[in-house]
Amino acid sequence: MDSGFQGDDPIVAAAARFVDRAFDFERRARVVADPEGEGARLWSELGDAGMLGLRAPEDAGGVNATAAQTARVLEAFGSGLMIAPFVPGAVICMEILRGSTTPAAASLIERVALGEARPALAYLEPGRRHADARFGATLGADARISGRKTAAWGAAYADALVIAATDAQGATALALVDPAGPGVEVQGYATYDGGDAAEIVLDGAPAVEILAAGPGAEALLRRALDLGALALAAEAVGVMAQAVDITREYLVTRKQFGRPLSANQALAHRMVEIWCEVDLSRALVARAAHAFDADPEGEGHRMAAAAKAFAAEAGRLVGQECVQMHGAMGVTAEARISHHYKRLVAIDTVCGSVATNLARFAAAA
Amino acid sequence: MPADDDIEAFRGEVRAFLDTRLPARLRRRVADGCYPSYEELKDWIRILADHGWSAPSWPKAHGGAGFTPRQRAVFDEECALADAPAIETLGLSVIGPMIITLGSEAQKARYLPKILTAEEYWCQGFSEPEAGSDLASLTTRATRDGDGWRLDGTKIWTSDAHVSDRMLCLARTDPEAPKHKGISAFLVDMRDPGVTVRPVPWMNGVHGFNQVFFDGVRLEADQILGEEGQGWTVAMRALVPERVYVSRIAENKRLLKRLKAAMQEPDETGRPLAEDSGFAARAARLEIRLLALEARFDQFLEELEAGREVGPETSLLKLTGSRLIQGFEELLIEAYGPATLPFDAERVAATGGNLQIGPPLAGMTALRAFHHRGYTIGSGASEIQREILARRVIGL
Repeated sequence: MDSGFQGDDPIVAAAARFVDRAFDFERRARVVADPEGEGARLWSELGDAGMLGLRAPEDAGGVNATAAQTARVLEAFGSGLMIAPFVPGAVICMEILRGSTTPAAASLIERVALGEARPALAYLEPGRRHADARFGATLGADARISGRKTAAWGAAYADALVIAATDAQGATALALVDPAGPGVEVQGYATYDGGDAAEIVLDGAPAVEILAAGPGAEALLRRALDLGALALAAEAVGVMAQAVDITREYLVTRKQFGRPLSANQALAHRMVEIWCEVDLSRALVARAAHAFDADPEGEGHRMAAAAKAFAAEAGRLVGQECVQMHGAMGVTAEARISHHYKRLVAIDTVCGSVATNLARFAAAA
Repeated sequence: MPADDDIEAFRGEVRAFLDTRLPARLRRRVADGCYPSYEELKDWIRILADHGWSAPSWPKAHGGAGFTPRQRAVFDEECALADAPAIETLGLSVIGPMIITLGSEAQKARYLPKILTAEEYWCQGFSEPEAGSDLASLTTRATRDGDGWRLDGTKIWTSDAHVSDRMLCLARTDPEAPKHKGISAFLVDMRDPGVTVRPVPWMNGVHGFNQVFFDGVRLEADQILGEEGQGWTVAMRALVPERVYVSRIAENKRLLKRLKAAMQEPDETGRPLAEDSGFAARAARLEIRLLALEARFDQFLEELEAGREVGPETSLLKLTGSRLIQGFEELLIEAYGPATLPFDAERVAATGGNLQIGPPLAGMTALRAFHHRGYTIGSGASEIQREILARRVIGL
């Protein structure tokens, strides 16, 4: 089945090749088992392959890819069930760093593109599930940050943290913090989809740099998270397409009552339902990515919410149905399909759930 | 694909045409959700025909507008948003294109001009009481009779038969041949002796369907379309030209516009429904699904514009678009509530003044929704579309 990401675009083709060559299910298991060692190696391979500079400017050694290209790269990664913290580091943080005019941002962009640094964004706080509200963490006039950050996705092994906080003027600020520096406590943990996240306590932690402040910072954070949502929707398309393909293969191979499972209309028609959701998701994500390229603050914002809501909801349905159609095997850790399912569930929870994105879409209409 | 500027210029041309030529009374009736009469529809087709636009997708050589696929999509959309009636006559959408492809020169000269101007109305005789989704098991038969045939049998769920001048009719010419092979397509004159029509009203009270009986109807040699035994090919071809437009994008957009207007009406607590976050989320879901459908539809249009064939994967469009119409209407019924109850809504609406029970559209909402349950049944039921996708596209 056409998974839709092949084409002439060199960076998209390179992403598909990377997944083919360097990332199979066994490698994935090794990364999960040893995120510090094998995970770090994978990150630097992604840098060597030019993937981490996807959204970095050309003069910083990047590809300067459009959102449309980014979406297709993420679909390719999704097909391979990639677990590197690519979206939090190379998409969301990269967008924030690009929007900052500081020397620290410029140098970090180059190091991320090379695979020498791995940043993560910490914006969520206990009791604050999205970025639409004011942050409880504070950035004082002395450039020190105090507060608590939760579920910082991809932050357990990050070597640079972007912290969203409220500054002395009461405005949103984005500050760069060294996780190994004074006043920072990072409690990392594994997430069920093979990735990681962290709880972070900041107690007078010094900001290495204020990346952005004031209304610009708020807009920058929103844009970065919109792009993140779009990237995740694209990744979901890849994960879903692969899940449907694996399940299709299972249904035509597995025999019960003397015939292949696929001969049963009850199953075949449910497969059609989820196949349609994947096909529609892919078309919507592509349209949303073009909208983001043309008008990131307006139509791009609205369409990113649309794409994420649609693909995440589709993802849950596709994941559930694929597990169900695999029978008992589907609920085991050794079945690949269970990993697709878990990734799809996780995708729904970050950068705004379905409910959040539906509300954003309705508010933007 | 024409440049965006060209297509926007075309959009402007269509808008200007609709502004000046669409009769105000007809526009009002469509906006209120009422069914235009056949006479009103025919008048509108004649206005379109005067402008060369009554058959958007036919080639110019045969009197069509010769629109490109993208122009056709824009035309449909502008017509829907201007509350022009949808032109879904079988002559213009299905049978005309089949005559263009398969008909003799004499048949083209005789039938096409009158289809274009609505001088002759056509219906399509496919389904039978014992042959619905399994169309190939039809039993209406055309028996050899000199150089022509004699037609006997019955057709059912025949839209517009009671106002039609002609029918494209599938009949079995060779009872010995395998099921799909013994079928031929005929162009039947509905006024010929032996044709009778019995009304089969829809559940909304509207006379849309009919049952048609043939009792020894004489068919001349020039009333067959294509070769004898080619009827199945004809039937399958009937579904091809319109394959992408069955997504009903334009009609869905019209419903979205109506839903947004309905959501500004106060609910039982006096607040607009748009402020009800639960309802707003359900509406947003449908609006997003429409965006996804349109994005997919546009990909198919690009294929067509590039001169490539589109295949059975377009079943996705029909499956999604028809259900989406029903989804919008479900929310509209909920939005308007008891104002949707009248059965003879046009009479209630005509009462007007202080007795008007809601916006004019409200009264027709449920009746329209009842009609549109048929969208997931006609032209290949959803179950058939799923079967096509499962076996021919997904590879199950």
